[in-house]
Amino acid sequence: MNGPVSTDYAATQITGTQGTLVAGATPGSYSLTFPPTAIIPLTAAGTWSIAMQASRYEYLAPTLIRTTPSSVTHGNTNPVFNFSVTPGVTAAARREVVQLARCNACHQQLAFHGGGRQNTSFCVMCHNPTLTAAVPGQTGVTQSLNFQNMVHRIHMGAELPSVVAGGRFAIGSDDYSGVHFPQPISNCAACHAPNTFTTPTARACTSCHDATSTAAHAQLNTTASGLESCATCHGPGRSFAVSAVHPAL
Amino acid sequence: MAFAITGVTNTTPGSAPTVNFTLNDRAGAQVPPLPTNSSVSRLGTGTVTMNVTGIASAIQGIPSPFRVRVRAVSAGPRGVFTFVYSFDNGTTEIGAPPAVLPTTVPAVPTPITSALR
Repeated sequence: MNGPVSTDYAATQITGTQGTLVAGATPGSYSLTFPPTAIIPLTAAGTWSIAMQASRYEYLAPTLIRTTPSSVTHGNTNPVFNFSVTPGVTAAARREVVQLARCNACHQQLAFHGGGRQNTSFCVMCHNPTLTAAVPGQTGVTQSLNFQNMVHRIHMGAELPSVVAGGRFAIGSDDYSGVHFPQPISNCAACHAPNTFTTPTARACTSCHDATSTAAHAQLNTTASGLESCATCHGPGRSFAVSAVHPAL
Repeated sequence: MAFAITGVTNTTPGSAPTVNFTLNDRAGAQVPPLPTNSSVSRLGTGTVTMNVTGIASAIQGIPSPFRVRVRAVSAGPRGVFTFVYSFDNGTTEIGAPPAVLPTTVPAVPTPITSALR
């Protein structure tokens, strides 16, 4: 569950054992009530979302060929439900930037974290701007696991300027330094919904363009209050527009 | 699985929300199908034809076309055999790992019995 609060936004995760799960009258219907420790914050506003994950755990008995027991987990596309925390106000669906069908055009079936997480609209519940992780091998250094940054960087992989310069890009034990996007990297529409990738922001652009000089360029064109002037040169119709440097195929 | 959130209540700030959802495991095919047209001789040879259409709908993530590979057969009480099966695409194993398909087949099919007599 996550959504906006007065200062930023908040996210809460629970498991079925933490809430109160009640079976409904109809077979297969249930109600899960969050525990008192996971309430909607008092400062919540706007539209919030609840998403769920369920997996089927299957025990595999030993066979003549595989003599030791094992198991497998079957996931499912995660449902996401939007709701307003203000009575009488209609919930507004979250902007869809990437479309799962486009992901699965290459991946066939996205399934992460053991296979139970298969919907990008579910991924962003946790992979939001607050999520970070340690940079492997660099004590005290963290990196963003925000979906935007992380996925851009994973697909850029070997083409990241920092990797080309001899560095590595890894998250935990997974090293993506050798990943090659199997088509022109400028094909934003391979993943993105139409009209969602033409507004330049330092956060999005510097996830792939990660050279120190690019970071300096972005910082120099950002005010002390956080306003960015990227669109002056990179906005739609400008000389160095996103659509010009990443032309649609 | 059929999985959907049907509604959320208690949605005001300060409340612990309640999520209403439906979850049906292996929707449409709750039980692995029984073999059909099966026969087994006294010597342990014979054929068992499985209803693979039912298996396909029961197991998610198996791209078509696929084959069912019987990996082991064990005999239990009279007339009960257990088949351990998996899926392959014609060359390699894919998708779901072995699942157990306990089923009942005629231990002494009539045609074979007649021949032995």
